[in-house]
Amino acid sequence: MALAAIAAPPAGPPDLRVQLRRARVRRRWQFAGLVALLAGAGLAAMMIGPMRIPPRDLGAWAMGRLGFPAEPIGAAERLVIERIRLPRVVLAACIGAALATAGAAFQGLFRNPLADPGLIGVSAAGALGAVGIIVLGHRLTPALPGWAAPFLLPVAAFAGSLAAVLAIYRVSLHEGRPVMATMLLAGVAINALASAATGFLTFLATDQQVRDLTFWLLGSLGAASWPKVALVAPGVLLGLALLPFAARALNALLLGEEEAGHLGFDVWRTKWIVMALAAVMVGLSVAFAGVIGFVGLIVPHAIRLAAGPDHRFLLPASALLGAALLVAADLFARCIVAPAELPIGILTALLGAPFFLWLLLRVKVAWQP
Amino acid sequence: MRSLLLSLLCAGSALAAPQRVVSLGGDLTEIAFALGRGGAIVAVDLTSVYPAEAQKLPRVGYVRALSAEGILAMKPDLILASGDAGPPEVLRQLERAGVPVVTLPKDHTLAGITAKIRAVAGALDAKSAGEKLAGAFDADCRTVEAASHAGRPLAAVFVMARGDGALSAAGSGTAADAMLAAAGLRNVFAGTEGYKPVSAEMLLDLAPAVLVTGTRTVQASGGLDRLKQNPALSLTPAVKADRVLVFDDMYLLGLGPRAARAARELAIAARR
Amino acid sequence: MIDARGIVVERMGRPIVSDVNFRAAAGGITAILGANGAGKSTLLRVLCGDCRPDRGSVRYFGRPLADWRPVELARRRAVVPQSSALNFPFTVAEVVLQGRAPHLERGAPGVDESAAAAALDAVDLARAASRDYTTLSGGERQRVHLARALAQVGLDGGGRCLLLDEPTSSLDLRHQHDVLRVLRRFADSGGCAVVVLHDLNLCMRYADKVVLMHYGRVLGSGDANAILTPDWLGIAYGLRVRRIEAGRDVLFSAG
Repeated sequence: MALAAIAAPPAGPPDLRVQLRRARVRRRWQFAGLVALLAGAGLAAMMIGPMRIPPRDLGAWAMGRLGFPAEPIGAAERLVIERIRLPRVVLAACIGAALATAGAAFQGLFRNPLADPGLIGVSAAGALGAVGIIVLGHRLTPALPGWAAPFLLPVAAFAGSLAAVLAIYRVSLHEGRPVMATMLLAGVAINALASAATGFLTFLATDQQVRDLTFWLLGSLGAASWPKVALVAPGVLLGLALLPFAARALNALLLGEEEAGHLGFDVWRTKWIVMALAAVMVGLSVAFAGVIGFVGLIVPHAIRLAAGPDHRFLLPASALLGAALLVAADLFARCIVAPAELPIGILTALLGAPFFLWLLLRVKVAWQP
Repeated sequence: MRSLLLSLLCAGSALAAPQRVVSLGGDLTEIAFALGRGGAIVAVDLTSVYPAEAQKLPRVGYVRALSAEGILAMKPDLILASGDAGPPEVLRQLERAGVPVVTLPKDHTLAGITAKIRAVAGALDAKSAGEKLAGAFDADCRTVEAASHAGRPLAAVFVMARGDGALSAAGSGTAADAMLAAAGLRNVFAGTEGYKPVSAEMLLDLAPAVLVTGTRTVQASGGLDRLKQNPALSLTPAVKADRVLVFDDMYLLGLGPRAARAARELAIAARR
Repeated sequence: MIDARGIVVERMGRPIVSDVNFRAAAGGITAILGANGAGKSTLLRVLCGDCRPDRGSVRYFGRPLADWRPVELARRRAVVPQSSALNFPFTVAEVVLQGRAPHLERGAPGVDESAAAAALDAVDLARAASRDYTTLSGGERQRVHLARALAQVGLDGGGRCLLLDEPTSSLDLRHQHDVLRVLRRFADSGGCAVVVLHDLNLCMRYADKVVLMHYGRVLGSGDANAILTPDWLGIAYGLRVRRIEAGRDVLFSAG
């Protein structure tokens, strides 16, 4: 009798199909929440700044822009809204989305939740490219047509990032297949090499350049403008649009490379595409905003803790949260010490690290029986 | 009719005198105050530490990392920018906002200061005060020449230190180099460019007879005695003969209206 | 169904698998047996396509492995690894549903979910569907991966293959038999199951064909009853093995 009572299975949980439907609904809400978060951050960033612009003016500007009749606003307010705040918010959103998505992609690819663009040397190599141009660029500029000069820095940073990814990939090839452990170690080596080369360039640099470098290496969105947005956005949007197509393959890669192959994925091609897209996104970010840490590490972590590691959700959700985080961080950077501003890299670390610790703490509690 | 026009013109020029100036450069701020136009300055950069009134003004941050909106929020009608001011995007945005930006090209010589004074005076609509200040500055410069050409040129070095004891020396293209030259001293690091880290061996080899440094370096080193005990410095002829000259950083390196007086003081102190 | 000929795998000039011919037929369970280092896992990796042999060829359904498009092969063949590197907090259901990847958007709505649910049920994990994979025990994880493979090729194996590397190594007695009964059903319905096993008793009871390996070569292959003899096993393991016949059951004991 007692034995029978033990052996009888407890009432089962709902059917798998119901469970999956519930999970889908929950994710839809989470996604909507992230969209709202980004919209809120963007709106706050448009409304708040060292220059006082009443919400009424912002509303009037938006109405006017949308073609509705609205009372005209002051030229200075208009300029701050259109030429200073809006490009800055858009650039922050682009770069936040790019860093977070690239982080999520690298983590999937390396099957390591710590594989941040910073960790595997992609950011450092991008920074090296940019520092090279800051220090030595004046020797190149006379040889170039005038219009090309402003492109020099972003192109060099992008080239650096891509070169790092290719080098890591090449080094880690073993019998035609990349080995993940070697890949991470190669990343560490590239990081050290790029940092050393950057250090050497710093030594060659003049005082003025060293101070530029310091600020640049801490990251800033202070020089945001529409032309910059026009250079960053296409590459970032390309990555954001194409990476989700690799989401299922990245999910399978988490099981292991061979397992992914057994599930019918072209592992080699997936890796190439993901690496190239992520490098484009990181390179563009480094080129236009310097080194902004933590976004690529924290954002995917937070999403995974809330919704699991499924890349079909993780990639777009990371883009949204990363964009919201960087827009918010830039808002703080502009306002805390106004009329001056803080380097945003300091702020992402200040905002990001405690948030990360809080998440860890929460998970620890949740795991206790 | 004619007098009316004249008064209108006067009113026009009175209106044209900028009332809300953001000054981006310690030397420019100093000149503006020396011209008696300090009251028109509403915000300054981090290097504007002289005169004391300037320190009470809002700071728009480091001169290489400015924020367009932060500066515009001060509602300026003129921006005085040193050649260092940037990033260029921000200056462009400020210009596009309709704020006149007067950029003074970088010039690390005493001779350039006269032109700088005239340019700032022009921008601030204080021409006559500018002529007076420029004249006074030129007169100071002549006294420097008198003081600096006495005797043979002494070998000198300007060092800057961080708290951890690491030293940098001023090479060519720095304000310190210009001041040493003006004071008739031979900068032993003229062969290098900008501030470069120095080692004990290098300093011993170059054997400077005079060591010049700033008050901030002395503070960062934990006092003049501690600085002199720095292994890189303790064996130099300058420290052994106790020819260590400490100047206020902005006074010595500001390249403002006080630069000629500072150079003269340096020349005299070095030869005492 | 699976046909490998003249397989040679060398590592640093030393042969690990030498000149192995291997056939696994549809409708049967083929077990690969042998001591540690005999080349069982390497042979299985060659059969999977994870390891390219230095010589020899592998064919599935008569077609060389290289001629299969990955997704095409994945629809007809699943592989269960001995252990997986997965350390991300997928739910059990998410892992099992990954087995449906090669079939997506091919079936009617709900097919994937039904296949996953049936597979979970078959390995006795229906109630763990929403659990975090990383909190499972080793044996539970092993069963999750079996369920993933079953979701991929189906519980009934007509025209399909299932390759498993020591699927029972972390399982308790009951689940060992559960797993082999799942394989039995897969084979009985026309599937081709290839399994690396260590347990002679399980092998005797469930395998239709046994391939006994020794130092990279096939010592003998054929009907389980014919191969699992004290003589053969004594050579393969370098140990005296007693075969105890108890009615219909045959048991093995070392020493």
